[in-house]
Order: sequence, then C-alpha cells, then structure tokens
Amino acid sequence: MAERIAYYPGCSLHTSAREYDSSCRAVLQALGLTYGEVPDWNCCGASSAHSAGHTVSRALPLRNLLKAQEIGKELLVPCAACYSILRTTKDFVAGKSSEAAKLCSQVEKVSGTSYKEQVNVVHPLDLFSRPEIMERLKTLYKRSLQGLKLAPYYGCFLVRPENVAFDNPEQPQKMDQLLREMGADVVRWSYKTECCGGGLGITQGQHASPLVERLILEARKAGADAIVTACPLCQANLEGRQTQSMPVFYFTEMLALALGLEECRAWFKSHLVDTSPLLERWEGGSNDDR
Amino acid sequence: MTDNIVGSVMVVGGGIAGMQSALDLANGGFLVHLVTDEPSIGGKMAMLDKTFPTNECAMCLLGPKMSDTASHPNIRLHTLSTLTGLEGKAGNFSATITKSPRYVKMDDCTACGECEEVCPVKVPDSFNQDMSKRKAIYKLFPQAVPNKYLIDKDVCRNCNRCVKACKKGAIFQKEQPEKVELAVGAVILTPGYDLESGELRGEYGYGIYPNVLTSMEFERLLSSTGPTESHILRPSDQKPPRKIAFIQCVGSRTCSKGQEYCSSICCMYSTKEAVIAREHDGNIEPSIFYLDMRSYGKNFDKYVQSAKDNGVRYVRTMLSSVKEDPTNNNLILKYVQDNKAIEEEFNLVVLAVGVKPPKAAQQLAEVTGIKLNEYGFAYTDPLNPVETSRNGIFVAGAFQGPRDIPETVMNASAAAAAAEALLATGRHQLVRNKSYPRERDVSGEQPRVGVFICRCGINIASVVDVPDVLEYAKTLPEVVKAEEFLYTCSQDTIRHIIEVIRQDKLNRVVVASCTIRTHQSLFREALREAGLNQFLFEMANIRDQCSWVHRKEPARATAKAKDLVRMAVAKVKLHSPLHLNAVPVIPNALVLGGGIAGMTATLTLAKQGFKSWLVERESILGGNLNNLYFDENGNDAQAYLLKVIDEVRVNPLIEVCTETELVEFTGHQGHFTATLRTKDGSKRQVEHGALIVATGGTPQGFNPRYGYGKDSRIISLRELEEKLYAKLLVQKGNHLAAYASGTGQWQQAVFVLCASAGEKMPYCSRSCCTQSISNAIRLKQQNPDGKVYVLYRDIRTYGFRESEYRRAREMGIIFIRYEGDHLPLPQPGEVLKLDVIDPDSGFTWQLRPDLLILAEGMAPAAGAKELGMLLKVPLNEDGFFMENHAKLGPMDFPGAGLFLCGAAHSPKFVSEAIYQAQGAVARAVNILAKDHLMVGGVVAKVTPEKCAACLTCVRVCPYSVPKIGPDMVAEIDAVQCHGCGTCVGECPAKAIQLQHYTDEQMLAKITACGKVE
Repeated sequence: MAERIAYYPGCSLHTSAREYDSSCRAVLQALGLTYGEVPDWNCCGASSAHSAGHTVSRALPLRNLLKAQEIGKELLVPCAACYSILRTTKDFVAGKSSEAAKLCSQVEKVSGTSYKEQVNVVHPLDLFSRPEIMERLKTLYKRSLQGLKLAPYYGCFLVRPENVAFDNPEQPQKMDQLLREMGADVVRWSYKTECCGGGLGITQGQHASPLVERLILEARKAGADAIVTACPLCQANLEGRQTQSMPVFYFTEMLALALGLEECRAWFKSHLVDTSPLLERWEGGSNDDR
Repeated sequence: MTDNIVGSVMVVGGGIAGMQSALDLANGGFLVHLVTDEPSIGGKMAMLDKTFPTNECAMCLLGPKMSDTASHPNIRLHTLSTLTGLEGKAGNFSATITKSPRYVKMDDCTACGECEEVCPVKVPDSFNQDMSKRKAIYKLFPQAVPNKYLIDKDVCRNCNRCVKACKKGAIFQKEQPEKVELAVGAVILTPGYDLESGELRGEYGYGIYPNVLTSMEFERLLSSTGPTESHILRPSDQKPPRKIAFIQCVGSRTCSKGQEYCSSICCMYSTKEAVIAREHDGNIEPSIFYLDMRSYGKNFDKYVQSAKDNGVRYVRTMLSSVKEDPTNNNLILKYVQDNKAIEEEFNLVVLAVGVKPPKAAQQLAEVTGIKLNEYGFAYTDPLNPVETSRNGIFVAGAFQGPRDIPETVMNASAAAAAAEALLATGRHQLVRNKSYPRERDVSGEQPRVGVFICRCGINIASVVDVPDVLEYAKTLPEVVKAEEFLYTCSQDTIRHIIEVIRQDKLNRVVVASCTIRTHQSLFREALREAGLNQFLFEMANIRDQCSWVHRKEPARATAKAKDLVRMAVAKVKLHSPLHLNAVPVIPNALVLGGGIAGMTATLTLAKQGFKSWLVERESILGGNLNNLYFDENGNDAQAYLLKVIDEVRVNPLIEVCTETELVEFTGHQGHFTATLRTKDGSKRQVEHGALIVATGGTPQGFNPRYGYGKDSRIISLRELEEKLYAKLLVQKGNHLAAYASGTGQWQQAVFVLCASAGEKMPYCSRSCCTQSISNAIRLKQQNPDGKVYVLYRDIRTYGFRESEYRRAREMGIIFIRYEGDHLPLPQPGEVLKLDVIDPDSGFTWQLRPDLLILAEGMAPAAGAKELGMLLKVPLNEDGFFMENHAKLGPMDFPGAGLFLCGAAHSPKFVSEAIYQAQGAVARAVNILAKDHLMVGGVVAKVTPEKCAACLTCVRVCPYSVPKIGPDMVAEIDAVQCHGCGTCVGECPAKAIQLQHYTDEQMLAKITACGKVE
C-alpha cells in the first residue's frame, strides 16, 4: 500500500485557482493515490516573506515541512511559487549549515516538534511524469485529447533555478510529454519559459500586459488553441490580461478531461475566458471514446 | 645507465599532434609506436573543411601527412588501441596496449567497399556528427588511413553478407581483443580535445530547433565528404539559408555552464566558416555575435578584416536566447545594440561550441600517473611546456589546453625534441634500414614493358572492361607482359609482380590502378626489391580519374582506360634510371639570436648531443626577457633568465658568440657555411648542417599622441613591472633594488592597451592583455582602495589566461572598451584628464589618473629584412619572418635546413617561444640525425649552354633554390630542390628540365594520347 501523500494547496488553490485544486485532487483520486491536506498549513512565504526578512522567509516554509511530516514523506505542491520556496528550504536545511541548524532549532522550539528531514517536495507535473504513473494514466484515460492544439507554458518559476528543477530549465519537456501521451496536439513553441509578467501584475500592470499579449500571439502563431500552465499566478495573469480569447488551462484539468472525469464541467465554467467554444468543438469533433 | 635506454617512443593519439611527433621522432632515428583508439589517424583536423587563416583544404594538407605517417618504416601504427598499462621509468618503460578487434584483416582488406555495399545495417555516422548514415561495416571517412574497413559490432546483425561479398576473405568475425606489451623509452600523450555539447546552453534551443547547429556540424555541411556534399542546406527543409548567425562562446568563458577558460579557436573558426559559407553561396549573409574578437595569432587580424570586407558582419553582444518561428523554423535573435533591443530573424544558427578535455584524459592520467590541471587538461609548467608531472612522459597539442593547429604542431615537435633529448643515447638503436638487391643495369636494353592492370574489386571492373583493356595492352609495342589482378596492391600480387619482373627480365613497369599519391611508393618499392631502378615505373590512374568519374559511360570509360595505359607505356619507355646521391651531414647547428628562444634551442640541441653556435649581436644574452620581471606563473622571471644563461654558458656543446653577426651564408641543408663577424670586425667561418632563426622582436614604441616621456605620470607597462618587481625585491631584503622606488602614491591607475597603435591595428602582439591584467592585479593588491581601470579594444586572454581576466574583474578592476576612432588620449595638466567613451552605452568616463600605464606592442627585430635577404627567406607584410606553411610548417622556412622560432615568427608568450624553439630543434634534427642526405631523383636540372641567366628561375622558385653561379648560369642545388617544376615551366630558354618529367617524356605521353594504336 502506497504511503499517503501530503498535499499543500497554498493560498491560491483555495481561492483564485480552485479549478487547479479540484482538478489536481480529482486526478490523484482517479490514480488511486491517497493524500491528505497538510494540517494547519500556513502561508508559504513565497510572495512577500523575503522582503520582510530572511529568517521569516525560511521559517514559514520550514513550518509547513514540519507539519507535512504528520501526513507522509512526499509533499505535493501544485503552485509553482510554493513549490520553489518549499523545495529551496528543504535543500537549505539538508545542506546542514550552521545557519540551517539555528533556523531548525528556532522553528522546532516554536512548534514543539522536530523536523526529521525526510520530506520530499514534489510538484504534480513531476509526480505525474514518473514512468509508473504515466503508465497508469495511459491505462486509465478514456478520451484522447486529439484535436486540442495545446501550448504548454511552464513560466519562469517551475523549473528554475536549476538546482531545484525537475526538468530542463531552458527547454522543459515534461508537460509536453504528458499532454502528448493523452493524445493532445502539442505545439512546439519557444516561449515556454518566457516571463508572463505575473510578478508585476499588481504593481506594474502596464509592463505585464504587453508580455501577456506577446505570449498569446506567439501561442497562436504556433497554432495553439489554448495555453496550458502549472502555475496559478501565470494562469490568472495570462487569462486575465489578454485581449484575445485564448483559454488558459491547468495541465491537471487537461488530464482530468482525458481521464473522462465528470467534475470537469464545473471547473471549466469558472475560467475568465470562455472555454466552451473550444471544448464543444473538440467534443463534437472526435468522439473516439476508448 | 645508457644501456638501459630504449630507443623507441610511444605516441598516444593519432591527430595532427600525434602524427607530427611521430614523424619528427622517426626521422630523428627513433622507433615510434603510434597508438590511437580510432580506426584511422587524422583526428579532428580530418573533419574540417578548410583551415584559417589561409582557407586551405584541411584534408589536402592532412592527406600527405597521413600517408607519410602510415608508410614510414619506423612508425608502427596501432589503431583501435588504448594505453592500459605503463610500468618502469623514464628511458625504459613497459607499456601495455589493448587492441580492440577490427573484425577485418588489415593485410587482406583492399578497401574495395563491396562489404559496405551489401551491409543491411544503417546507423548515424558520428564522423558526420550523426547527420548522415553509415553501415555497420565502414571506414571512418573516405580517406581513412590505414585505408581499411572495420565492423561496428555494437550494431552488426551477424548476417554474414559482408563475409560472402568479400572476395579476399578478409572478414574475421571471431577476432578477439588483444593485449600487446611494448618496450619504449618515453611516452608522448596527444589525445586532443572534445567539443562541448550544443545542449549546454538550453536557451539557444540546440536539439529542439532543427536549424540550430554546432560549429562542427556546420563544418561537415561545408565539407565535400559531408552529408550534403558541401551544399549548405538547413536541416528543416533542405533549402539554402540566406541569413546565418554564429553565436560565440557556447560553453567557453562562462562561470555557469561549461568552462571558465577561453577555447582559443572559436573566433577564428567561426570567421572561417562564415567566409567559406559565402564562398560556397554568395547569397549567404553571415553575422557573428561575439564578446571579444580573439584574433590574436599571426595574420589573424588581417583575416578578420578581410572577412569584414567580404560581407561578414560582426556584432559585439551577448545573446540571452534564441526563439523559433514555428511557421518557418526561422530563428529570432534578440540583442542589444546601440542601446536598443533588436529582434532579428535568421535562417540558420551555428553555435561556436567550446573545447573541453578529451574523454580519454582521466583514463590516461590514471594509467600514466600524470597530473591534470584544474580544468582536466594535462598539467604543464609554462616554462617547461611539454613535460608532464612524470619524468619521461610528454604532452602535446590540445591535451595541454585549447590551441590551434600551428601551436599544436609546434608543441608536437617540441615534445619530440624533449623525448629525443631523454633518449639521445638510444638514437638509431631500433630503426631499421632495409637492404635491397643490386640494381640491374638496363642501359642498352630494348624496353621490355610489363603492364599490370587492377580491377580494384569492382571499383574499376564494374565500369571499365578490364579484360578488354588487358588484351589491348598486350598489343602495344614493346609490352612483353600484361596481367590483370583483383587487387594489384595486395601483398600476394606484389610478390607475384616482383617474381614476374625477374623472370621476364622486365625493364619498365606500368601499373594501371589508382593514384600515385597513395600507391606509387608501394610499387616503386616492389621494383627495388626486384632489382630494378625505382624510376623505371609509371602509373595510369584508371580508377579515380576514370571508373569513378565515368560510372554512367562504361564504353567510353574503357576507351579512356586504354588511352591512359597507352600514354603511360609511351612515357615509361623513355624513363631512365635516376640515382640518389649521398651527401654527408655536418651534425652542428647555428642559432641566430640569444633570447629565450635561441638559448632554449641551443640547450635542446646540446641535450641531444649536437653542438651549436649561439650568435647574439648584443653584448648580453636574454633578449626581451631582460625586460620581463614576472613569468606566467607570477614567479621571478629574472631568476629564471639567469639560470638559463648559466646553463648555456657552461654547456660544452654551446659556443656563445656575443656581439657577433652573420654576414655571409652559403651551402645547402646538411652543409651550410656561415661567416660570422664580431664587433671588432674579425671574421670566422663555421660549418653546420642546419640553421635556426631566433632573432626575436623589439618593442614597437608608442603612438606619440599618448605623450609618453612628457609626463612622469605616464609610464610604460615594462616600467611598471620593473617598479613592482623592485618593490618585491625590497620586501625580500634586497635594498639595492630600492632605486627603482616603487610606484609612489596613487589613487587612480589607468592601463591603456594597444597604445602603440593608431586608429587601426595591423596585428596583435598577443601577450600585452594578459601582462597588463596581471600587473593591474598586482597594483590593486598593493592598494585595494585605489581605482584601477583597463582601457581595451578586445581583451585577448585566450586559453586558461581567461581566469586572470575574471580574477581582475572580481577584484573590482574596471574594464572599459574604446574604439580606434576614439583613442583614450590623456590631456596633460596639473591633473591628468582622460575622457573615454564607452561605445556600448555611449557613456563618457571622466578619468583622472595619477598613474597612466601604456601597453606596448612588439615589432620585428631591427635588421630582420636584411637577414631575410641574406638567408633568402621571406617576411610577411608586418616584417616578421614567414614560415613554410602557416598551419603545418610553423617552424620551417621554405628553404630546406632553415628553421624559425620565437618572436621572429610573431609576437608570443615566453612559454610559446620555448616550445617553438624546442620544436625547431626537432625539425633540425630531422637532418642532423642523419649521416648523409640522399639527394637527386625528381629534381630540376639546368642545361648550362641554354641558360641566359635571365633570373626567371631565381624569381619564381618558391623555395629560393636557383642561384646564378660564378659561370654566370643558373645553378639548382639538387639537395635543396623540391622538384615542383615551377622553374621548368617558366624558363624562357627551356634550359631547365625536371628529371622524370622531361619534355621528351611528357611529349611522348601527350602524343600517345591522340594516337590510337
């Protein structure tokens, strides 16, 4: 019996990125992977803690790692920013520096439990790309995504910096492979890791908009009907700022669609760009139910 | 001790370095085991299309070198072999090599290619960078040496089709790996280098975008033996590209991915690839994106200038990413130029991938016990540049660090000289001299011609009707014997031919087969063994020049083969025996120039047991090294110089002649006579077998606009170094040095590089960038709060010197670029003002130095031109001596017996002068090691009665051999003549004949062409 996976949703997946949260949980369930949400999780600290102070920016994620121990050794983190800071913190503690030891003792003192350094921080894209899970997905999937021309978009955070990357930092491929396995027509484009401006979304919106516009245009030029992401900030930014009407999905939504999970319907309605023209065209097109 | 010395050397690596070392050693009287893990010799150079800066065909330069290596009686070639064990000590090692099976018998394979034809397995051809397919049974490349097939067992399906196809039964599937033990006195490691992967910089999309190639892939596209047969077609659509971008420093000069050092060759090879691409297809518009243009070598700056003049665009910028347009696979480069972000579309992108240590480095280091440096290359001391950390093991070529072909050749000869010095007492111990039967006197005999026609498997016979040609040959007058063979070159056929020559009393032989380039020596050898003069032979090339090029017209090819045979028979009938004459060699050398190059040359000669005269016109030895205070390791260069001078002075085999000049020079290789004149006017003559020119260079002086000498704050780099050195000596307790007084107080020090030059810089003096940076670091260390600026055109810290540049920047030394049309000129006054415009940002830096240091270039030594005239050797347009060949002859003059090294060749570092000097000695020893030289044969001969002394031959000879003698007629010394025939063609009086190609012989051949019998 596989061990339970600890699931860390972070703030986005409970709010603006509900469809990412729901689709992620649905796919886990369909795969028969048991998971439990990290009890009493706190802010990961990715967006603001580093400007508040170095210690707090490490202490916040460390407390989450500590809490994750209660569920299991594998900590699944769907948000790219959460993943990055949790993974970095895990590596920082594993580095055994005196600074790390000091941080651990401080956090352990406050929380009253000790950190056993056995938590492995994993992103769902990495998890679902594991050969055994890929095999399982292939046996489970109900409906080919053929006919959907998708541009995988990894953004800046997911596979960078290199030391926390689970894919090639400059030319990532895992989402491409996963979607291709599900039958999708994955387009080749060069803007997979180009900045979407999400980090400037609130403070410097005028700089973010042209970046989004360029990405949408490049995806269209590559022949894509939709962009697929693995980051809540990218998704919100790409969907919310574009003047075109190109749907922007989470890759887990696409997996759920291929697996024929009925819950999908509800999530697709919550998108800011109307996904129905594309999905209806696809559904009408190739009904090759397996 | 001496009886333990083994007179043989193992050379590990079959590239240009290995071949050069092997040839120098073998010609110097040593047995060589040349070991390579490849199936063919040739190395990386065999993959290149052309070479910089002369745009010559690489294979055409390499081919003869490969043939010489393979056919040398004292070089044993061990292909597919690795050095796996090394016991013993310097002078007497026991080396173990492990030979992988070839599965094809070397003695039987004739490279006819029938096996390859039938092989059903196709795999990517790594020689063509996987851009084409080869079979499981294959040759590494068409001109492979040895020209033998091999089976790639990893992909072979054992279908045995090749076994059935091979008419010689050469395929031997059960061959096993084999261990061989060899006794050698020394080992030279020349495993070369590997190239970085294009995938290293993911942002450029190599491996993802089809139209992004590495430079080696592009090189193969340019090559006629490459996947597109030299048509430049881009991979995505096989269409010719118009705009090509070359991106420099992929995997070099980086602290993130790849190597920290500069790969030294990429700026030039990209320039070459851009130029050649335009030569192939005039529509191509190449752009080179670079950081610093490192055209530091001889004639390199001129090459880059001519590239610019011929439509190659250079853009100085760092590229952060390459995007692809998915609709047409074009590539979009985004870069900053003149403070603007530009997006530009290209059809093809070529990545200038850098040099990394060879994959064999670690294994070789473990087996031999030598030390590797921090980057994984062989560790060497700059002042002892070809010696590894283990005695008796030497290193040459790119295994020491990235370098181009000429530097590799210099290195390789230097390593040979070092091994020869170690094993001097074992010279001639193991070499063999073949004995032949007495030559039969054929004078007075009627011609009795034997014609031997080759089928070359199916190579000739599938097109040319060989039996028909055979019957035809039999009908030709005076042909008494004609036969055909499956392969004339196979050993059993050769034995048969020798037998036939004897039995049928043949006195002329024609072989109709392939080319004289590769096979003439083999057949001439057969004639000698049969007791016939080797010149009574002629070849008809009915393969390369007939069956291969007229595949579709067999009938006409057969007719042409008959023509070629008839012509060869007509000529050979007029051949007469030619005899080589032995001329004794005087085993001494004359070395001109008492700087570090000249001194190193005499010491290297002495170590090998050769006497030399060291001629220096100044009163002291040392040359430019007298003005250098720190060596490349940062150690005391003056202490090193004193040590070398002492060694020279006490060596009984070196006669130092200071305040002496060469005034007359006559003779030929093996025996020259030089007249030396001392300062007091007295003259003496010395006789010697070889001459080495090491006359060095001289400081160039400064562009007067910098105001050197007019302001005490403006000093030369040399003066700064002297002050820093004096300070060091004072710290060490040498108070006599205090007069130099150090650098005084300073808050801002500014270095100006290239301060000898004006707007344009004709050539690079190579060492000033590194020397300036090292001294900038010393200054900064002395006063860490002071500001240090370096103003430069291009920083040329090539090779491992790049780490010094990086260290300087990390210390806070600021580098500002300037352009030739905005020279950073100081404005004198109470405060020295120096405004410099940074051309990249447009910002003007207002510098106020209290120490301004000018870096001076290196000019040719005074009197170089006169010396050139005396020795009849050429100079280049900058006034440096011109070597025989920019790539493969960097230490040889066109005139035989004359050699070159040091700054007389071009400006260089001390370490480079040292190995070039050692290399020049190895070249000279090719002559000095012989008791006598065999001269004559195919040489030009003057008919004195016809000569009008018009000087035409004197002027046209590329080797400066003809002279007008005391009888007022041209004299051509057979010892010096290369037999090229240029003078023969040009002589207006027809007074010169090239033996073996006389007018009579050639006319007979040409007449026979039109006369069908």
